Amino acid sequence: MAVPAVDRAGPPAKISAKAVTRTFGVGSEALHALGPVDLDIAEGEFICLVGPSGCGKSTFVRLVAGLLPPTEGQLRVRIRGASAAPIATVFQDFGIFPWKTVEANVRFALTANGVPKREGRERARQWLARLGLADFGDAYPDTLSGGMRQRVAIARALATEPEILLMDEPFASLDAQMRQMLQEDLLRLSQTTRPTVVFVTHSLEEALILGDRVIVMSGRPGRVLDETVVPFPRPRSTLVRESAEFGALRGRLWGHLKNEVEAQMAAQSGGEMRSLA
Amino acid sequence: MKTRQAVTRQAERLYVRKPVCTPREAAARARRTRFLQVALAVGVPVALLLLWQMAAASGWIDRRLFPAPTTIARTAWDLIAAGELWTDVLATLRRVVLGFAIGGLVGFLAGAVTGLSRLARSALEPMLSALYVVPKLALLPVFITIAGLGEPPVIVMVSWTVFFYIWIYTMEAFTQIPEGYREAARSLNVGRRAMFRHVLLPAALPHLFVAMRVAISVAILVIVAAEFVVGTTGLGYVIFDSRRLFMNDRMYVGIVTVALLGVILATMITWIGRRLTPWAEQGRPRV
Repeated sequence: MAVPAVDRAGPPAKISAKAVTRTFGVGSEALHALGPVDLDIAEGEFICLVGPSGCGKSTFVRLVAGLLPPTEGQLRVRIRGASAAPIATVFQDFGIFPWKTVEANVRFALTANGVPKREGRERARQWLARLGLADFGDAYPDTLSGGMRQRVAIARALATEPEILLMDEPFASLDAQMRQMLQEDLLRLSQTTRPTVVFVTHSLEEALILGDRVIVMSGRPGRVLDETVVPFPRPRSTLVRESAEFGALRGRLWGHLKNEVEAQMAAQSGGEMRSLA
Repeated sequence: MKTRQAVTRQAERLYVRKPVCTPREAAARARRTRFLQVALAVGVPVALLLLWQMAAASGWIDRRLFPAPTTIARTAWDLIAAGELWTDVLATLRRVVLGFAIGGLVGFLAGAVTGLSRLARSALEPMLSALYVVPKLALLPVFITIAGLGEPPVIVMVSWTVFFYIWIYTMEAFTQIPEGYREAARSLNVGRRAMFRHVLLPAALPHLFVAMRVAISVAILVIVAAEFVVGTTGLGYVIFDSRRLFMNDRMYVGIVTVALLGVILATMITWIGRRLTPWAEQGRPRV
């Protein structure tokens, strides 16, 4: 099922990574976290990145967001519109500000990018309503549950109407039910507005439910190990997880991932695993 | 064989978990505990005062050294009626507020700069840390030499003390802001000014109020000592002047008034802090 570097004679890629690497620190302290990575992401595509912890998934997201520069190689991000904030990011923690009310959090993203105050308030309210947060505009984030807080983060990201939506393990700290609710929210919203999405997760199931394509990455330094096109048609719901095909895909992807996780465990425990095996 | 089996077989045991009291009993117990806590908090100081009063009245302790609480209260009333106490309270208050404002502002600026810029931290932190450990009162003669007698050296003294507390806490507050908040703000294309105004300052604010509460207490501590050395007015002067003249009831009035002043100023800062940081849980800063 692996699709070798998909044929892209048509439109140029939205995001295109060419031999991108990232190293943290210098000299003997240097940590090679990512790459080299070659990856093309098409306009409107929903990409899920999975891989063992520390494989540079989050680093890749930060490179696309422009929060970090690559150490080597080049990353091209093609923006069409005139929007001041064409890329929005949803983080796992610290994404929303506890000192601002829910509405002020969403509004801040808009007014910081030149949206007039009144329009900002209007759009903030609309997006909060779309995520079922209409009654919580005046609440402070710390009074909400983790799931509600991540909804605020999603509302804030989507309110800027981004061309590219980056999500760095946004549901990782939620419980299973909450996670499923938010997956449904995200499916519904991304299938209507169709931004290009890069979604980092450590859950294969989540990747298969949400993504058009799942990229399995190797352990550190992270490289692309496998690309799988997800065959489920859109609009899609979280019910796809019930199908037999879903189970088969999940098993196949786990086959790739398992080796990486095992290798990582072995490396961490100084080869203990290997001597036992 | 059969008999042995019967003997070795373990006796069956049943563990029963059941309530030890009815909900009504539990509520009554909780009420009793609460009542006892309040009674102790109020009762112990009152009992000590009563004990003091009795001891003074019956002559167990030297009344000239430890005047009875009622004597102190009467002296306080006389001093207030004569308008004498207010002059000293206002003199002290003015010095504390001025010194606190100057030291706090400079301390905040220094703390923000050293907290946000690694280079500024390298340039200033070692020197300021070294100055910080110099006992504040040891510098009073220096300030008198530089600023002359009267008000200026006392105010400089308070500013100096407040500066260090606010500077250190502010620097800590800014350096401890999780990188995630900055990252989130940068991902929203926030500029430098908006970053400070909307992200860094509010993240540090609860810590700054903790710093101010500590600094105001230390400012009061310092002002009393400074007024003792250079003052002709102020509560510190009242306390030490009374001791010199052996007017111990007046001395205690001074001590109680200083304590009250400290409590009132600290409470005001706490109150303003709660108003300005409504997202932070009571008394517990969070970033």
